Amino acid sequence: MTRAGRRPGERLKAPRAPKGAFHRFALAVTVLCSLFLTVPVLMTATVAFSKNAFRGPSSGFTLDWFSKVLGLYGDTVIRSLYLGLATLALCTLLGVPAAYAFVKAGKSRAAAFLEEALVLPLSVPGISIGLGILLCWGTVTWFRQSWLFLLAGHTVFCLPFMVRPVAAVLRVIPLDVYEEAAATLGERRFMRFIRIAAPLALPGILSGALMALTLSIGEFNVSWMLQTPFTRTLPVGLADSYASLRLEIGSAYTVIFFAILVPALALLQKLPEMAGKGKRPGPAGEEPEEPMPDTSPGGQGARMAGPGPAAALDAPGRAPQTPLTEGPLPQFPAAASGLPPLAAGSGLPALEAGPGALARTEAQGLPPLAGGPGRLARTEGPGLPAVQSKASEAARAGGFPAAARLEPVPVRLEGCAKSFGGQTVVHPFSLEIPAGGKCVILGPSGCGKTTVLRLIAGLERPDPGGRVLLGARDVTDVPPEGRRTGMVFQSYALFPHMTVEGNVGYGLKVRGIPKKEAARTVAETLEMVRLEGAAKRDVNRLSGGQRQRVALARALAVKPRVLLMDEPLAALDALLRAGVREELDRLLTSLGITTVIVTHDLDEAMSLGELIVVMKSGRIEQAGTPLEIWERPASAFVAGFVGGSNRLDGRLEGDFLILPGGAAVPRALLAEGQGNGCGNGRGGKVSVFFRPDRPRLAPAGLAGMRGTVVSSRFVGAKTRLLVKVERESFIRIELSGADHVRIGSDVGVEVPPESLFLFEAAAGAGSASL
Amino acid sequence: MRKKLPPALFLAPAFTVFAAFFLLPVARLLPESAGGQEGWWVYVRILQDSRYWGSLVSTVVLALAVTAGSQLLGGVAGLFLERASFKGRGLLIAALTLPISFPGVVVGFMVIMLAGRQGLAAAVTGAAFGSRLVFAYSAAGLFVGYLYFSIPRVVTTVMAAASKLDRSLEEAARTLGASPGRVVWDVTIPALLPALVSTGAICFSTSIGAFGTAFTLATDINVLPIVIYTEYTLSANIAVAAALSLVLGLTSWTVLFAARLATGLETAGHAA
Repeated sequence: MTRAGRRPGERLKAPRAPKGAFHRFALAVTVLCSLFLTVPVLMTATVAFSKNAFRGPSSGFTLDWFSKVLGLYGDTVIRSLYLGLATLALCTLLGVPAAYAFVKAGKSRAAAFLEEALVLPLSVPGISIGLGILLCWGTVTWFRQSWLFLLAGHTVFCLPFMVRPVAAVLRVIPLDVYEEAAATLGERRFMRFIRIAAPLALPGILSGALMALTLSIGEFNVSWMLQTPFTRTLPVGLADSYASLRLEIGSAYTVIFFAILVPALALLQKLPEMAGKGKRPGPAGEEPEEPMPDTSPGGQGARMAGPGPAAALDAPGRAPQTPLTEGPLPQFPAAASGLPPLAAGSGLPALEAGPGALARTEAQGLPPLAGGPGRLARTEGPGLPAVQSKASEAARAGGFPAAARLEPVPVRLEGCAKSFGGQTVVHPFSLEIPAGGKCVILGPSGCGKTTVLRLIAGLERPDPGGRVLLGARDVTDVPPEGRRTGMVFQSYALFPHMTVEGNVGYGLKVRGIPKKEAARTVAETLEMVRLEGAAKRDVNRLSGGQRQRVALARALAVKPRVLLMDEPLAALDALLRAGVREELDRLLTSLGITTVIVTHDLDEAMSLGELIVVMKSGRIEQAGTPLEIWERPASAFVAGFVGGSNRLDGRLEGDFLILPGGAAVPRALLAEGQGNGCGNGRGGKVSVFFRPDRPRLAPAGLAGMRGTVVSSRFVGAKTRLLVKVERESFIRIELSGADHVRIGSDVGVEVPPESLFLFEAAAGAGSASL
Repeated sequence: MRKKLPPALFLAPAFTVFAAFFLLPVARLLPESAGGQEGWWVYVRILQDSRYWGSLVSTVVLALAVTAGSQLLGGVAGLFLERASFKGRGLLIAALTLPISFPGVVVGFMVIMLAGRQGLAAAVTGAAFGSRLVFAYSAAGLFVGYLYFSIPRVVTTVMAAASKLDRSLEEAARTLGASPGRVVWDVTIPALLPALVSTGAICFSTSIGAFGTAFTLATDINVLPIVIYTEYTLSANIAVAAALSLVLGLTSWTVLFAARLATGLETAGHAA
């Protein structure tokens, strides 16, 4: 992320142009201004090529005026060119070392003063400088009569344009470090400047040189004061021709001037773009996805990061496989091969779909729900009252003033998709968050989670067909200011020109709430986030944690119906985060407000969310309670993203799952549903996931898998082991307490069969669909 | 400590030239201004003589009007161009920024093209109303000319500032209930204020020092740079010319320096 507050998805979008009255007004002003600036230029060109200015192009085309100009003023064109080049050369010779000296001087006040002085000629009108030079040096006749007199004036005038960009370029690179490196290699100071500093400053030198050239060629004020009949420059000649000659000659002369100046100017404008091109990393918004946590350091790990493993699950029309689906699970080879239904009790009884579940996901693409690709996953809320009552209970217990209690509404997104310029950032999905529920959208950067948040806030409009509902009200066409959502931006987006109080009260001021009442609400809200004493403070002088609380207070002050938080804790340092998280959880629970939080951090999601929506590449992979997500990941991606699971290559053979090393696990012992729908074809290959805290160590030879301990680290409360089980497979194991396992020792690894998750093998088909 | 000193060797050449052709000449203006019959009273005379005083006032008024006008037009255009995306945006940007370094004389000629005796305005009004509108050689012509070189400066600065503006500030204001217009007033303009102040100072200082445009148009109002020039060449009144030069230079520098102190942004760079 290049800039705080901008997510990758955002950079893709063409800035949203409000097509209102202001838009049309601004367009009109812009077009008028550009016409004002270009029409006379075009007229000049037309007149220059016409036989008669008054009758225009109809009088016929001619080049006569150009030859007349060259006859009369040819010398000025040539002189301006070599004067410009000489100015460029002199400015480079003088300005680059000076800029280098300024940068090397660092914070020296004397150097800062000198640098300031060098820029002075830009603040004083040329006519004054010209007069001064004339009075000072005009008596030196040979100098006065030569073009060097002009060169002196031009150099003084153009020098700052060389010094500034060169110093700017050198200031942003660690010049001292490079130079010290060169010095240790034996380079002397002057050569360090020539071989290290000057080449590094090249972009600055280039733009300074072009600037000096164009300014010198166009300089009039100083030149007019300093010129003699033998040292007229192009602009001086232009003034002369405008005053005394026909419009056609003036025009032709101007066109010649443009022909020299404009290419240089255009190049100057392109320079920063050209310089920036080399540094920009890849196309916007295409940030590489965070690799799935994986312990295998070999080639498999690298493959995991790609789209491979989940590809089959992402195929159009296929539903994310959720254990808690309504209706029958798709019967795949497991059934075909005649396996008996899974033994009861081997699953996880606590998680059985039922009234106890908070949210239920419905897989689309299954026969009963085949209608419309618009609904990828929908969460329904049979358990929602539970959430609500839990929240309001806490609110009662929380002891917040009644005034602060907010009226929560459910949030519903129906068939929402979002694409920017033909690129789909979020695929069609539906989601319902119950009133007072706390939903966390979890996923790696670039997965589209922030876009979902912005859809709810109204900062983005869903693609046609999508609907956003707050409570019973369809707000799809309501602009953000009409939605009364409270949003906490990742960068906090505090208004830098307002105090804490000003920020928190802004939403109230905009709504025209009477000052007295607004002040009371602001005070209450600040109290709520424990910032009572900071009302009058400058937001730019707050600590990270305080800024976060101001942002939260600002969002809450308007008593929003929904609170939206974009990575609310990401900008805080790790030490603060845990504390703020707990506090936030308490506050949100006591307020009972419907909350949607976007994060890439699993801990944050687990500790703040009642409903977690895992997203990847613009699609919902799974939606469920923290327990469901943890215990029954619906896809290889979720299994890997949540909990840093180990991944092994396995094989389904008849009634057995074969692990690396040949250990066989009876399929009947696997958790309910595991292994269904994968492993058909390609020799029954599957990916096997399990969490690091699940395996037990056993004496080598007794257990199913054997391996060698590669590393063993006590990290407080637990010991982390890395065990190599096959040539390229590594398993991460976490044992509680300080377990002394010798590195290099052979161990047996036993993984309880019910803690294995099976998914389609990573390699092969499916990757083309992404 | 020795390392902290600027390596004088690298600075010496630049400062030799700078001292010889800027510091010395500008310093020279001071004794020259007192070198006339009245001595130092010349500065009092500038304030008494309506010719000088009047030109000072009209120069400042004109520059202020140009500053306000260009801020308004260039501000709207700059913000719009940075935000909107449509076909031809690149062309409009080029059209609005390329004239940034046209010298004053050429700008004067552009005004002649627009409003001169054979200009666009004359042709259009002549065809429509029968009477030809010519205003290039008046204060209005100067105003148009100064606007011509000021608009590109404002557009460039505002575009640069707007591109650095954190969009989430405006989005935050929207989610808090502010209408788009209100957001511009409450958030966008305050955020752009430093850029507007600095570009305003540049426009003002460029306008009061602009010589080329006024020289080309040979207008009927005497702006300060023209007065300096005529005092020096026609009346050979070196003392007054030097004194006015100093006043002009000091005014220009003060405005730019004050703007820079207030905003922390670069405010130098004029060429008109």
